[in-house]
Amino acid sequence: MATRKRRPAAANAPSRAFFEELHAKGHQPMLEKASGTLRFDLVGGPQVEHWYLTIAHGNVVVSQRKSRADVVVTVDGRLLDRIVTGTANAMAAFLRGAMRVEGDFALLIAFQRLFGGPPETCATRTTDEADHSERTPR
Amino acid sequence: MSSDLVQILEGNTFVVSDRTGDIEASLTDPTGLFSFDTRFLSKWVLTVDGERLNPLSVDDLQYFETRFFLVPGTGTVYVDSDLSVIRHRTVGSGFRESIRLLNHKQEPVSLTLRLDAGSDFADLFEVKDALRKCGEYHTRVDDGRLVLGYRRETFERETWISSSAPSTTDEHGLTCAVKIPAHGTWETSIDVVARIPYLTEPSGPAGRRSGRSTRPDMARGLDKWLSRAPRLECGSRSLTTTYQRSLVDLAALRFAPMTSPQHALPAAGLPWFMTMFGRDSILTSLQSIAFTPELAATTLRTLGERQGTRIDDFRDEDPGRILHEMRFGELTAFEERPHSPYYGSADATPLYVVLLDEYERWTGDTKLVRDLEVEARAALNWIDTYADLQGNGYISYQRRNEETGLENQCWKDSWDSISFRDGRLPGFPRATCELQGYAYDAKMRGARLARRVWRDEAFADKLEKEAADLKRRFNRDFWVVDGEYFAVAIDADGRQVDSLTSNIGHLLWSGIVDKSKARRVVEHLMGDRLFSGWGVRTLAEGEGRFNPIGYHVGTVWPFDNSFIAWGLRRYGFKEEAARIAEGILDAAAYFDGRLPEAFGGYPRSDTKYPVQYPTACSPQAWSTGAPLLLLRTMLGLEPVDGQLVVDPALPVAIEHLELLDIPGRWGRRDAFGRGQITTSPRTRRRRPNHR
Repeated sequence: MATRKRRPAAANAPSRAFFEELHAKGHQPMLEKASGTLRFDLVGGPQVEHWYLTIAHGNVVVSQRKSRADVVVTVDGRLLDRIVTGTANAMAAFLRGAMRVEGDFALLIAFQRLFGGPPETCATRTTDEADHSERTPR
Repeated sequence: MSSDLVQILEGNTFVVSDRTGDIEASLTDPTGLFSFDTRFLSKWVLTVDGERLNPLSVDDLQYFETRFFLVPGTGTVYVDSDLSVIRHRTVGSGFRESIRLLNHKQEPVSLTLRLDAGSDFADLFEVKDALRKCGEYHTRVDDGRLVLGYRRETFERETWISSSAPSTTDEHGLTCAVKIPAHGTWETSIDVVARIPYLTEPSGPAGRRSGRSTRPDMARGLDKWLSRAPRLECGSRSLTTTYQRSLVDLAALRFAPMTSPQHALPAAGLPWFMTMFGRDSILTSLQSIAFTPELAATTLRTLGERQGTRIDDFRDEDPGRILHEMRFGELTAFEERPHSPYYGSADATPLYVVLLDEYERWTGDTKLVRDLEVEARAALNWIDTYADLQGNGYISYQRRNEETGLENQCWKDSWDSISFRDGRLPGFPRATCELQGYAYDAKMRGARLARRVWRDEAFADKLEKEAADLKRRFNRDFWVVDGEYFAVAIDADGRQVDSLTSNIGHLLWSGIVDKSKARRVVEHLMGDRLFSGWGVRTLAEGEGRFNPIGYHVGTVWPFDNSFIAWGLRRYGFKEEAARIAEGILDAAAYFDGRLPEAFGGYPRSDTKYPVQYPTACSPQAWSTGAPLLLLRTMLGLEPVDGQLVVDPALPVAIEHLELLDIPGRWGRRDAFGRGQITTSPRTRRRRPNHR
């Protein structure tokens, strides 16, 4: 499935791989209207892991160095692993209090579009069928 | 909604009670205090000295407040009233209830006032489907405040109840010992707050609602809303009433999304559909654009923020797809329902582009069009890729979530709405005709935006070429030769689903109909099989599944008719548009200006009054918007080259009509019209059938 090509990363840390890939990519057309800094606090491990994502004009810079943030997202690291790989949904996690958000909610909503979709879909299951090929994004 | 229930609301918080103000809900019973799709009170019963109260009257003050006049005892013949009880309830992020006791005796009295409270914290979906809860309940008394709570893993919802007057609180409610002097009064104010940690807390996305049960500025906000809308002056009192009713109901239907709490978009219906719906929010924004264009701006921005980016079968999500419905309750939170949001709608995506263009034509707000370029392009791309399930160049739908997804993803979403003449139902995927019209319109309007705002001539040319091709193919493939109208759908085998439906009116609105075929389409719409005298039926008399009180198979929908009238004007059929406007607005008079979602498709000459179809939600957003769009079509309001063009075609019954201060890129303009069109129903009555 074309949409789900992902660079190989440390299998045990999809969230880290996700952040690093974002940094490497730099520009995200979907974030051109967004600006500000998101801080992800990954809890549940031996210590809280902080990630800062600064967005300006569609460019994303990822860092672990402390800075000011417009929105702070606190989430269990294992849950975020599932969210970035599409096996859990960010909005649902937020609604059940498993992902806590303080600050600019709109910035998070703009950002969450970058999380992956579920690994298995009807489309991936039927890519061999010629009559469904048009469903692959151009 | 049964008429012996009382409902008030603000945003997605609402209270449904009986006429004493009490709530005693079972799991499947739709009463209670609801917020964010969760029931926060399922029991709320007021007693005085252990006795229930008896309603004398209920004052519906505003959509967000109501007053109950009560007396003790539930006597049926004679009520001995030396005590009056007035409950005044205002809803906000919970509700505030002020309770006043008036002693009419010449001596002081001592009474015990008791409020029993409880909550099942049911998800709206559970109320509908009677499901069981998985989490645990807790109750505590905290500093005189009663806290009812529910927890499932990290999911927490709490109801906080407190009284301004001294009270004794236990785990089942509050008790006040009341002493009132002769001819004196006693009063307390009870606050009930629906609390969602991390959401309604001050730091949370819905934090502005927190801490208080109501907002102080609600009445002022409503006055401001009404004063900003265009003023209507006309000879018809019922039309004036309908217009005022529509504006107030539209105010009640405003829903502030979490991402921009200062703005509002139209939710779908009150109270059960007080949430974002792609289709309903867009169509209502289109209907009201000449009156309250700011609703369209919020709709476009908010739906754009939530546009699909992934392929997700559970949510029927694709990149570029505009959402169908968003929910906030427990089942959504645990991914047992797909509404976070759910994307199973085949029309919201092309309609999104249609609204963006219509909005720009009225307001000249090119900044929003530039801001939403990525979203609009993604929506246009969805039409030709993900939506073309059959590879035949048409939008089709078939759900991928077969358990909790929607089977019918067009506006006629009931199971039997799309059928052949003989009543057989087609399989899936289905390509319904109005979807192709919307796709055509989206491409044409997208081309205009590309040329004028995005400055992408090549893209504009491409879209126009695709639109022309779509129109050519559509007029060939969907045209039912022996009936001379457009088939309601093409099924999975490429066959025409050949029943005659109101959908052909939407095709006129979209402009996909060849000029040479338009007159025949109009004759069908205004003929006895479709036109009831009040409006156009969803399905024509004589079709296999026709039933004048069938949801989408014979009833008349005011919203449907408002778009059909717009379509008739687009093709120059002014008189026919006026007849539809008159029929629907006449019907509104029978409902005190509040049109129901649908009414019976009986011939007008048979029933004399429109027979209401019983539905749970009232008002419904797109029924509320229908009179607004009909006013627009009667006055022939169109923004052309930055100016407001007025081309009235009014039924004679309306004598004269003035709409003053119409907002738009021209500032404010007035429109006038005189009734000149005779619309008297034809006396001749053909019998159904004649194909």
